[in-house]
Amino acid sequence: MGTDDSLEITAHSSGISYQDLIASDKVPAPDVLKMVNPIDLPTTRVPVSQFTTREFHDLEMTRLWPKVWQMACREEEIPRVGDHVIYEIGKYSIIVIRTEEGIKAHHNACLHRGRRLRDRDGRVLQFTCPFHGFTWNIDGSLKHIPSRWDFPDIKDDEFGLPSAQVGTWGGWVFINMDENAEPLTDFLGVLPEHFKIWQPENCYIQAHVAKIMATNWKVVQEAFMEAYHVIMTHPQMLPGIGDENSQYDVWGNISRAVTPNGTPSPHLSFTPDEQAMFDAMSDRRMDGPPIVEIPADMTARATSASGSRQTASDLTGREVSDAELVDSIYYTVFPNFHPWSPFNRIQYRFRPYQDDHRKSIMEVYFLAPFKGERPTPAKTHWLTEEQDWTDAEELGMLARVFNQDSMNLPNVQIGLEAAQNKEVVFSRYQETKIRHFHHLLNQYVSQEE
Amino acid sequence: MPSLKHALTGGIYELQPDGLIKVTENGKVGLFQADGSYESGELTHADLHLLGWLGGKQTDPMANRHAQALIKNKK
Repeated sequence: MGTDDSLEITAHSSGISYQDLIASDKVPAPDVLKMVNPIDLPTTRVPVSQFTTREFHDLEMTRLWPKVWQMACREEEIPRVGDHVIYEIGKYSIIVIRTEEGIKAHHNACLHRGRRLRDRDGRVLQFTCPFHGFTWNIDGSLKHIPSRWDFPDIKDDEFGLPSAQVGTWGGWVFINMDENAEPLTDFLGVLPEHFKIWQPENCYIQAHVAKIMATNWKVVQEAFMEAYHVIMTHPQMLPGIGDENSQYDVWGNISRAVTPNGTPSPHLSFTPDEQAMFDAMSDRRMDGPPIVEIPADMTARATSASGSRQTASDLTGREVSDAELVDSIYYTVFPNFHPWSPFNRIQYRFRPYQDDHRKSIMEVYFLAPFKGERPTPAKTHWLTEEQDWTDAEELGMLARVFNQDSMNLPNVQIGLEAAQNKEVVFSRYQETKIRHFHHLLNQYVSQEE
Repeated sequence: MPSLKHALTGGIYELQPDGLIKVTENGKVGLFQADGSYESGELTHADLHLLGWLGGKQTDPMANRHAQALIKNKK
């Protein structure tokens, strides 16, 4: 890891700060968006080998994933006793199941000859191994062994399924394979307080798309942790996005970025008017009419916010601020979970694909507020490595944005594999979240087992 | 045909009926595929991501949150 302490961190980039911007909003931002907590961390350079080698992947498999809290599913995906999902992380497979006593997590392997007990999500009231029939209750206790007489040395009360810790927050279910891990509430720190007004537990899965990527999981994840890439990867957005005005904060295991919309990129050599800003936000073409004409006394931010405020306020029972309705507010829970505020709807999870360090799974959830009876959560829509994001029509315009990101990601992996330099470099401020991630990752992989 | 102006370079990107994108920048013109491949013309390089944005598979233009919000407001 490289270190350079000679520079003083700048808490925002050129142009207006995010705090100055929201101070002039029509409907004020909530207190949580007025918090500022930049942090300067020593990590500015990370070895390329962390993205390319089997050895580092194996370190993650032994020192990170078995030790850290990680999001496994939503509670709404397992509403009834016996409902379960199979959460796979690299070589590990965990059954997350609802029981009469609450949600439990068991390692998904028969204690007889090792067959995976469950191949898919579903609902069962016991786990029966399809190989020889060893059976466990869903609480993990042993229920039945065929030809019980033939295993005289097995004691029933010592033959329960190995379990993982389970914790919940905001309707999300987390697991931790380490029985000595700190409680989830300690691990999450400020996160529940930050999300108190957004109540993710009262949202539902409107869409869930998972795509196999030919890229190390960290390479994919890091493309969604900063707005620095917008200048090159999403140039159509620049008139209406304050990419370089984004604010980056860190609290414990949590990091946050807030990227304002309805304000121009400081990278532009001209100042777009409010109409041009809104046109960029709504993908207007030069040859087409505007989706809406901005009145002379309105701003792009206020216009966008006013359009969705009524619906949002009906759902939440409060007057939702301009910032919540217009800006991109994206948190990261180390190591791989990215909850956004609910009016963005987006939530991400990134993880290795099977036990392959050059492949990963990128998941996009749309988590939406609702009123009345809880809607049925959307099933996972899987996309192959070759498929286009627009094959998931439920993602709307975001699919095209992901296609732009996907033009880079496999090429980053190829470039890293070919690289002659031994390190990648992260910026002091705009790549704060990535530096924070590597700072924590380094702590995990440096620990002896 | 759908067209966009590049906010940084000022180049004009115009989708053609055959699916190619005509780019006019600094007085030079070139034709490109949506994946960034050069086809013909004096201009031999254009922005990969804007080519993909304009020439790649499209989605419902109203399916973004800023546009969606206004549709809801008009109801």
